[in-house]
Amino acid sequence: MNQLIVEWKKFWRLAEMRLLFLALLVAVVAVTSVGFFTDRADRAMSQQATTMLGGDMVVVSTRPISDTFLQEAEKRGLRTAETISFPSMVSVGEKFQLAQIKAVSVEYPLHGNIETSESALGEVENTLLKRLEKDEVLAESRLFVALNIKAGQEVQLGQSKVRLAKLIRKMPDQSASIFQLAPKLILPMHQLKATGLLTPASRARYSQLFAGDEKNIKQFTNWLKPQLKKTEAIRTLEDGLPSVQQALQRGQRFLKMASLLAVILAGAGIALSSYSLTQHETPAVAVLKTMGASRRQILFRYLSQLFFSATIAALVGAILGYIIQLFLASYLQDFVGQTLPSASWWPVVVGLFTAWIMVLGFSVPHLMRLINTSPVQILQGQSSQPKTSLFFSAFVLSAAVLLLMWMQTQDIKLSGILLIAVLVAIAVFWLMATLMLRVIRKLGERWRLPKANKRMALMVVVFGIGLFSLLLLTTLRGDLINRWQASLPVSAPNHFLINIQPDEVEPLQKLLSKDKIETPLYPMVLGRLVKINDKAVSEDDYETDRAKRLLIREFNMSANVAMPEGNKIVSGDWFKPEALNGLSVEEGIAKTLRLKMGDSMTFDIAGEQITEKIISLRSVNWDSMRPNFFVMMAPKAFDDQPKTFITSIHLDDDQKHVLPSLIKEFPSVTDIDITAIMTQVRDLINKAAFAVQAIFLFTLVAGVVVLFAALQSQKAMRRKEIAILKSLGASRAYLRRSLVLEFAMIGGLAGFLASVLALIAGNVAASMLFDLSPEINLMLITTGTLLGAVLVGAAGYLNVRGLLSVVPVSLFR
Amino acid sequence: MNVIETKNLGKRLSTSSNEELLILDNINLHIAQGESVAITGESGSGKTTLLGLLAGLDIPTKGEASLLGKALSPLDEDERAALRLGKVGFVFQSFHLMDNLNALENIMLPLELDKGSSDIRQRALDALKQVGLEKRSTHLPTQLSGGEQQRVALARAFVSKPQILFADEPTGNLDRNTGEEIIALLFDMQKQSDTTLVMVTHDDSLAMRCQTHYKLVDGQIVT
Ligand SMILES: Nc1ncnc2c1ncn2[C@@H]1O[C@H](COP(=O)(O)OP(=O)(O)O)[C@@H](O)[C@H]1O
Ligand SMILES: [Mg+2]
Repeated sequence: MNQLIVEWKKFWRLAEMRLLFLALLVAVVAVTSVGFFTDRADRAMSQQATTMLGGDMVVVSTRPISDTFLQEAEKRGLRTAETISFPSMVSVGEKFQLAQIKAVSVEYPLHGNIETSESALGEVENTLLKRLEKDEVLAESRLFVALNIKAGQEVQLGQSKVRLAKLIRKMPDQSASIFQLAPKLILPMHQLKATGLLTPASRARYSQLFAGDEKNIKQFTNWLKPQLKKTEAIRTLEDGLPSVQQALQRGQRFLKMASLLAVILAGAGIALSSYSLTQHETPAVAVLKTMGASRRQILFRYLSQLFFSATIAALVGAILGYIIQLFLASYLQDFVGQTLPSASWWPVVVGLFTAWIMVLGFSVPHLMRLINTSPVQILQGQSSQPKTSLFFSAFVLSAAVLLLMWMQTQDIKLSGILLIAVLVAIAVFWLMATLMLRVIRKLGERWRLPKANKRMALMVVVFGIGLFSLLLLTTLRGDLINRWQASLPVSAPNHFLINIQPDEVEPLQKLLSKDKIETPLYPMVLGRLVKINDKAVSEDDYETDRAKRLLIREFNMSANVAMPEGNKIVSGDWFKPEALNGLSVEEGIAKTLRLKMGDSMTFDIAGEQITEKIISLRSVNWDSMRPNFFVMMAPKAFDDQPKTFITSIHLDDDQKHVLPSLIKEFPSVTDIDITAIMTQVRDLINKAAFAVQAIFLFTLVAGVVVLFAALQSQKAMRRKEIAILKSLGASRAYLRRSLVLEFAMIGGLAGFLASVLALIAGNVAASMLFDLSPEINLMLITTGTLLGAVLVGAAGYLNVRGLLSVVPVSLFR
Repeated sequence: MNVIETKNLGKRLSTSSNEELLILDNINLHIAQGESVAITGESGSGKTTLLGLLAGLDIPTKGEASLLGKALSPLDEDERAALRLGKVGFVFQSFHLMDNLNALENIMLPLELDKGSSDIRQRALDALKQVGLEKRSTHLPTQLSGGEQQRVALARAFVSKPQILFADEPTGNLDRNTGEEIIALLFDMQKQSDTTLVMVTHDDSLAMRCQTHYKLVDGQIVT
């Protein structure tokens, strides 16, 4: 170990080694900081999810679930709870209201709290179910409003009389029920039997909730999965807060991609600097061999140093990565409002392996040549390395890149595709660069430009790919952040109004228009999907949990003349204004349920079956905070259906007076204030945007490392060239001009190719990975070309400036 | 006992245009332990090629060379290297010090390669003292003059007390005075340690100072 450090100090004196180390460090910092951060963010999200689910893991079914799961879970030391949900009438005297009854065991909820109050605006407190009196139940305020009662009053529920003890202000699983028409009523499980409501015929939803530590839950889930009946599914929080999830997922995908590109760029830096290193060490190896060093000794000498450097880079990089993610996470923390789960050690492992794989994959081909250096050449004054097969180098390099991508994305197929994309990109760059250089050579003879040669083509490819990655990320990052911010403009709706009765539509619109609020009102009808193409369907017909869930719960369906804002037709046509028939289905759900244009769907709407054909597929912007519907019917389809209306409005601070008068005039209308959620989401988006910018910096640094590594790799050759040119009488001014011109030409060409390809790739990636629409930006090409010329011209000149004072005598040494 | 022997040694190279080029032919040498030998000849006569063959850096296309009693042709590169380890030193025309190692570290290098060595640092310091550069031990090659670099190279060559020292135009890159100093030092150290010296040079006066003198003309020895 001591020996290693002593040797390392010696190697550290080599500029090539320091560059190599820097490239490794950048790669590790990028991988670990993104790794730490996304790992914590992921776990924070799933923690958030568990509070919304009420447990770490939930099994749902349309039939009673046997006790075996519960027994096994208790044996494993997990906490458990049960719920059974079904609709039922609640009455007080002559007043009836449909409510969604949720019978729950006293342990419910396993995560999160049921927050209650004595009145709609009263003080909020947590309520434990075991503290409730024998006949007490809880209900959402809508039930109180509908029945016109106050907390503590008795109501009839089935065969029992129960007391509505408190108003539910917040509870797990609530977000999913925002648009559920019937208000919720929480009934302690022991009171269920007495109501006599639950019969084998009732359409109830059963669930079992489990909570415990992560490992235990995982093992239990693995044990449970194979035993699930077809009617049973594991529930996750996909239908919780789709907009936040979507935004975060996109952000994470971008972060991962950025760090991957940083890694690949750093890899190019490593390949270049290890090339220069081995080039530089060739005479040294020959000398060592004259002294009697064996190939094994030489291999060990360099390999141990490379591995040692990689390990140090990994450790330092992991520490830096950890610090950086601390900053990122402290931002996220405010949003989550709870301590983030601590970072796991996994990213350190990934960082270490990244460094090792990079050193192995990107420098071993050079190293193989180095150790085969023939000793006799040191006498003849040459320093050339024997050639290895290009195939071997390409194979090792590709394998390394593939491994790295696999570790980052944990998706071998995606990594394979990415690898092919990278190879194709290199090929395209090479081809274009050679072609354009050939043209330039023709012109160059006339204009006395620097001679275009193979070395220039190589530089164009290297810089081109570097610039390409940077430009690609820049455009995507810009698009992404713009899109995020645009998705939640300041004027985005911050209130949902639901439960609007048909005869209230017009007066409500009139009231709103007094304050210049124009908003479409959507009729809403609940329907259960029962047949597809006249064949009965049930959750048993689908494998995915998402599909099962869709069939278990009811669809919120709507109908309108105009398509809701933010929706886009992807195939077919939107309804004609007077249309009575047809369906428009959201494309994601169509995929999940394997539906296509022309298929017919049958819905059970309040006991009546309605069958319609799909005439269009839509994409929906879930970020928009507006009413969105999976299934929309023809504008006139609901004319004769019992229905309520829903809308979302934006209220400025100075428009808040609208609400009290609205609620007074339309007492049955329920207002859902999402200002708080919106602020949170907006905050989150700003922070995610910041994180994206931060990670982008790594890629930038990696690019700079590549730039210098590439320049360094040519320094020795240039020193010789300059000395020869000088001995032939070239002046410093001439040399300066031709060097700057050559670098600027290389950079300009690289920039041009890079921006053209980035434009193409950016649009493809934007539409495929991030669901953004394509856009042609010609400015990018101009900027890219200029940027390349200036950047490479300046950096290149700075790098070789010192060589201009080289004395030609050095040639004869 | 002969530390170097050759029998009908020849080297043929095929050039890129597929022509065969005979560089050395019919070389028969016997060099005894402690002997000093000069190989002279005009530029391109094959001196360096011969040195490479004698040291086992390269293999002949004809005949046989043996080093320290071992025939070289049957050995692979690593086996030939093992033969040199600790027993053979080199001095080159262009010094070839490692530019990331300081003077002392350069001298320690051959000892570090040999697993059996001990007192590495002390021995290297002694060698540095012998060439009169003990004050420059932490200097990097770029901070040393050509003559100083060649002194370090001498110390590096002698530090492992080799049986044979090969030198290829050791003064070729130095001015006259410095060159003479280096040669004096070289012979001094050679005598002290009873090392066999095989030196390539095109300087006849230098060759005169050796016990034996071989002259190469067109790849053949003339006496
Ligand atoms: N690797 C090689 N390829 C082709 N020709 C070579 C090679 N090495 C040496 N030669 C040729 O062999 C001859 C002898 O070279 P060398 O041994 O270096 O001569 P000297 O050291 O006497 O100047 C020269 O003509 C040289 O051009
Ligand atoms: Mg020579």
